Amino acid sequence: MLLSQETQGKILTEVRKYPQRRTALLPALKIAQTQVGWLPREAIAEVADLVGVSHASANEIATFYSMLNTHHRVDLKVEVCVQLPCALRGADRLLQDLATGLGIEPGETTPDGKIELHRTHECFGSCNRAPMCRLNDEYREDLTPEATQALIAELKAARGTNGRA
Amino acid sequence: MIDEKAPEETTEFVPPDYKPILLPDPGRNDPMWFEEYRSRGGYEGWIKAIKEMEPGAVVEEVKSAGLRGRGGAGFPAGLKWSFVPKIPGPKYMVCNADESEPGTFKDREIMEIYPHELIEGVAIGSYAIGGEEAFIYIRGEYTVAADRLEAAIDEATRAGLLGDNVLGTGVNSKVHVFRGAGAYICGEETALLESLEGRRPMPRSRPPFPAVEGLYRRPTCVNNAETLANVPHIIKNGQEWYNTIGVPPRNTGPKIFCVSGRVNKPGNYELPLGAVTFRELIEHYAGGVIDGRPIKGVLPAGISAPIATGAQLDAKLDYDSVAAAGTMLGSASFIVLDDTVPIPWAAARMIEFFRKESCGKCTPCREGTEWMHKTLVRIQNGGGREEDLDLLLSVASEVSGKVLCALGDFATSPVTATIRNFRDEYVEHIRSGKSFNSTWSPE
Repeated sequence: MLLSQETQGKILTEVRKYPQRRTALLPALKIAQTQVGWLPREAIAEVADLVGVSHASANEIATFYSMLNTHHRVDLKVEVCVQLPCALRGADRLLQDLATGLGIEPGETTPDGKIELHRTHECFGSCNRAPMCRLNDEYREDLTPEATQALIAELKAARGTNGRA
Repeated sequence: MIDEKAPEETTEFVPPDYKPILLPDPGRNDPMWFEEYRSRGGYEGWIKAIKEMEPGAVVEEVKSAGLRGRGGAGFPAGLKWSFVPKIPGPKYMVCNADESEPGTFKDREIMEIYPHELIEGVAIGSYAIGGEEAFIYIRGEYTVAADRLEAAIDEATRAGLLGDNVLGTGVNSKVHVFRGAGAYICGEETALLESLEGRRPMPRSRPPFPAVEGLYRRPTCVNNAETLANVPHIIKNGQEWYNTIGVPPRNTGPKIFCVSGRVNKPGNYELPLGAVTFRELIEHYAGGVIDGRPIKGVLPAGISAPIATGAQLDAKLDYDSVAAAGTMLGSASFIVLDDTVPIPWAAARMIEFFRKESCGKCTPCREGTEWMHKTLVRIQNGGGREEDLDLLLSVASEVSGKVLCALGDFATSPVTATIRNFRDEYVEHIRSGKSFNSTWSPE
């Protein structure tokens, strides 16, 4: 089993919580992703078995949502919202600064495999504190040029001393 | 179409005498937890409902209050509740807190700062339709809000206000927080129900409507978070009080206006419906346009409604006045464009959203958004042809009205309304052959 006892326990708690077991499928996939770091096939299959749905049904959910990752493990995902409200307040500049600072293009991963930079069309509901990005689940808002430089320094530090930058 | 009027000429503005109800402490950052909420009159509506009112009376009160859905459609909430059949067995109240419309951040503030207000509204709504179990479907990215809602539900349960046999009345009320995982389509009520059932969130065809066959094929009512946040106040203070706010009988109550884009003070501003115009809201609340520039247009309901320009910006902000001006109030999320913003660039940015977020179920939306996006990017990047504008309108007409859900219809408005209002600018841009290379920036 890829999923730990603890993860399985959390998933079974979700399964018991709702009027129908299947409602727990999405929460269960998120719980599995939290442990594994992403959703490989084995993890999706184990979740399906715990919830009691077919593997195909679980796969259908895992591949639909943008917050579920069926590709590969990512330590730090930086997502810059470039939708109109953010774009009107400098989101494209923010994305460019991050790309330059990290030495990668949007959609790429740093050579050490630690940071992925994404341009996303999705709005995160921070339009009053734009421009912004998400670092995994955490919101970073009001990213002025100065705040962006501080963020880049922070990201480089998070990569450790062996990161190229 | 650029508005030539200088802002100073319109300022004989008397701010309405109004104390915010839904967001009572403007600028507040810390959540109002149970003790404070209770001490400020919180849960009095809930206690009144279960101790003194039959469910039907609660529905009638909300109907008489004239509360209209704050998610976008503006449908009367009490009427929606009354569609739920009074049959035995489970019925579900589902709060739509999947706020994902670009430019919309009102539900986030309600949930992050006043989580109990929403929970109380959900509990009352659930009781009104004869339900015992309710769901708050919150978008996955709102982790702070979801954590606070869960903590607030625990507080209310410990205080005996949620759970089994609340205050000895025999009323059972359970509220779940259900987190989404990043999909705009989940804001569409039937897709949301599919998501809650652990299926791919794609809209259902109607009928049957959710009131008859919703979650788990049981009668279900889906209401927006801001709508439900109004309910405790209506029940506590009565529909007569509610009718003194706004423009009765069809546009009553407070409304949170989200202002973003090219303004000095973007944010949430709560005012009575119909109290101010677009222009007054922007000038007197949102700090005016950056550098005092003229307003080119305002997207009134996130990117999903036709852009408002010129005289439309003098419309009072209520459902009927904005509709009469030819656009829609929707979720009242105003994205302000000043005269420097190139329309072809803005339109390409907006349609990119719909192209990526189309769930793919209906061919016209899945394919149409793709083609509209490709065409607009071509125009934006300097390779457009004048006939592209009619091509865009033609594609839009093949999407609108030919899809299962309203989101597909909305996807066409960034195209049709910008071409209608700014055709000259499009043509000029196409003829110039200039490219914004998708990176126009305000600085």
